[in-house]
Amino acid sequence: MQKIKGLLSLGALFFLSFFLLSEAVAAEKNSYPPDIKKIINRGVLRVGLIGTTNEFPFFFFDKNKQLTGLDIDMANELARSLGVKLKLDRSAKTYQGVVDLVEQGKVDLGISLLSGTMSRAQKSSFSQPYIYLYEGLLVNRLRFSELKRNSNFFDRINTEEATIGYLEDSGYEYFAKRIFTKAKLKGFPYQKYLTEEVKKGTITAGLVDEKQIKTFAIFNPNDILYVETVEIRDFKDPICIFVDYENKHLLFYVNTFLERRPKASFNQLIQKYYQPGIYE
Amino acid sequence: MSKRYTMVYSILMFIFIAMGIFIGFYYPRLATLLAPWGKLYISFLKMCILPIIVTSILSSIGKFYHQPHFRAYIKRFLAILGIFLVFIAAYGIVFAMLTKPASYLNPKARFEMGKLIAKTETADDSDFSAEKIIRIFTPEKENSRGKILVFLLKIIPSNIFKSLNSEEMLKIVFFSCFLGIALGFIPKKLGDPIFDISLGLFSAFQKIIHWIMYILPLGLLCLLAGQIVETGPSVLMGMTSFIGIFYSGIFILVFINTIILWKLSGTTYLKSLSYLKETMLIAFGAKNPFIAMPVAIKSLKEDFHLEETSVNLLIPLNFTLFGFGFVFTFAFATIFFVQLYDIPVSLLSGLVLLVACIFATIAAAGAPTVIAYSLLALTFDPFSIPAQPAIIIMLAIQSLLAPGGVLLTVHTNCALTALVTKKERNKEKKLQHPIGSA
Repeated sequence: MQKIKGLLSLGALFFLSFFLLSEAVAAEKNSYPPDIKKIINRGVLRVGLIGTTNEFPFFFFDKNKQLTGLDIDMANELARSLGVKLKLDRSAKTYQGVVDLVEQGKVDLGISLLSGTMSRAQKSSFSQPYIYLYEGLLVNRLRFSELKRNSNFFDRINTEEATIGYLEDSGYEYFAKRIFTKAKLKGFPYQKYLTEEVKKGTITAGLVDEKQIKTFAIFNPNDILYVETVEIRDFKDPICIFVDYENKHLLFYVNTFLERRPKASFNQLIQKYYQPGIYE
Repeated sequence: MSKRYTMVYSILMFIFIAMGIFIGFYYPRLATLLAPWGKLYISFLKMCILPIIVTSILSSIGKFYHQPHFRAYIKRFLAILGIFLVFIAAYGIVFAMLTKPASYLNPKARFEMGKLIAKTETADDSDFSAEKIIRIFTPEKENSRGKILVFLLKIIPSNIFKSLNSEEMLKIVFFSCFLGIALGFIPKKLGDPIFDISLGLFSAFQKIIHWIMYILPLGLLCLLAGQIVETGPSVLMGMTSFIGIFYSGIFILVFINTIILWKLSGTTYLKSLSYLKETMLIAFGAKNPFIAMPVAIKSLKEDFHLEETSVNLLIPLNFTLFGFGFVFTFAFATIFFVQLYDIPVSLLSGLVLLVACIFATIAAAGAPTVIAYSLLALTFDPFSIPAQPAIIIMLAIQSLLAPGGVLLTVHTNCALTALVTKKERNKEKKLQHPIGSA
């Protein structure tokens, strides 16, 4: 009898311990916010990245054909800090497509040189800017010389005789329509088409960002004779990480990450990532 | 100088020039050591330039103005000047169209040109920068000065001593001409001493130049060696054919000038060529027409027996105002870039270019090289092609083009002076002092 009592007590003690331990584990798991918890449970951080273009120094292939750049580094760092693996989703064909992936919940974050515009702010959340880029123009020198003379550059190019190209489904479309009120506008589905048309002279200028302005000479030295780079200092385009508006804590986490990360200027980024022989 | 001495001197000159070129290419360290001595030699020559310009104009313009056939003389001068300017501009255009220098430009050359433009045209001096930075809502203020006012500000000195210190040639020449003419209208008792002093000083500086010429071969050795090592092979990259064709054009024009001078000299061709040998070598080596000016004046007076007053006045004026080297350079460079951008050249655009080259050359008178080359914008205008890349490339290679351009300017101005002055010498009597005999 005594023996049976002893065994029962031991069993009860065992089950009680097991129960308490399970509760402790459950309690531990329940302390994460749901949006972070989902990622940790999954074991993968899904990051959306545009699939139809590469943009030095944000995401591009280095000499060893490895995808690298500022956006890739940040995605890797975020995944590491959460203790999960990184998975890049490059199914989006446009920049807006990446934002759509975030809104649809198909990716956790959009880190793809995305502009934090007012129209996107209506349906998505995005972080504080991790870099600002000025807008700019790639101008065909010959086409520009043919325009009616005006000592003011902008007044000379914002005329009916000029055609300004822009990238469709991007922040540039909004900017082009707002600023170039007199020039003809032409949308292009891909950045490389826009650049080629400027080089050929079928359009007068193409609206691009500071990144393309400052790297044009590096990647296109043969074309400098024909194309001039112009930076427009009136507008700064905030580049942000996009998060679904429901994932509030994930947004807080990303902002904290950006706050603690050392800031670099665009020229410093070029110097950090540029190697002779790389291609976009 | 005796004939034997002249022959030895000439042989030494060519030996030292060859040595200078050889050292520049094959012994760059030695050339780097010699370069400062070449610059010292130039400084020695430059020491006399401004005094010679002022005294030669002062001592001659008063007399010149009172010559009996002054107006006819001026008309003939302007007519011959016009013919020279039009001929050289037209020659530059046709020569470039026939030789097609842009067709020799390979992809590597375009690459180097693109790198040069990208490196030079940075709006904010950082390593990676746009060529231009604009603000749409706060545009730059325009310069509201009228063009005539800008031109007058360029030639009238507000402080002649400041202009002398800054070597603003156009302002110095303007001042000297104005003062010289004014001296011709004041009482003889007051004006004569100034003329005599000017002439005396001018003669003294000419004597100094004569002494400096004894070490010209050594000076040229150091100059050429230093120039070759300073320029270096990288600047030539891609533009070798352009430079080669450019110099071919220059030497053809210089040859035409030698024919004109030979016909006017009344002696053999080789002898007439040797008269301006030192002038040409100094112009080529020093890349500055004013440094060759004293030797040119001396040679035209003593060897070609041209009338002193005209030579003393015309050479400084012409060297300042009529950069024939620029006429050819503007025409040649414009057609080169027109070919580069695949723009066709019509008869009308060619004629407009011819006029633009002449105007640009006159506008470039007395201007620093950077300003002068920026006037390519005038010649590019008829074809609506961008001037900025061309200006950058031309400035990068201008140290290689300058010897030829200055040689053409100096030599053509000597031919022009000889053409105008020689005829006048046949007509007029021996010159009197403008306000009575001395």
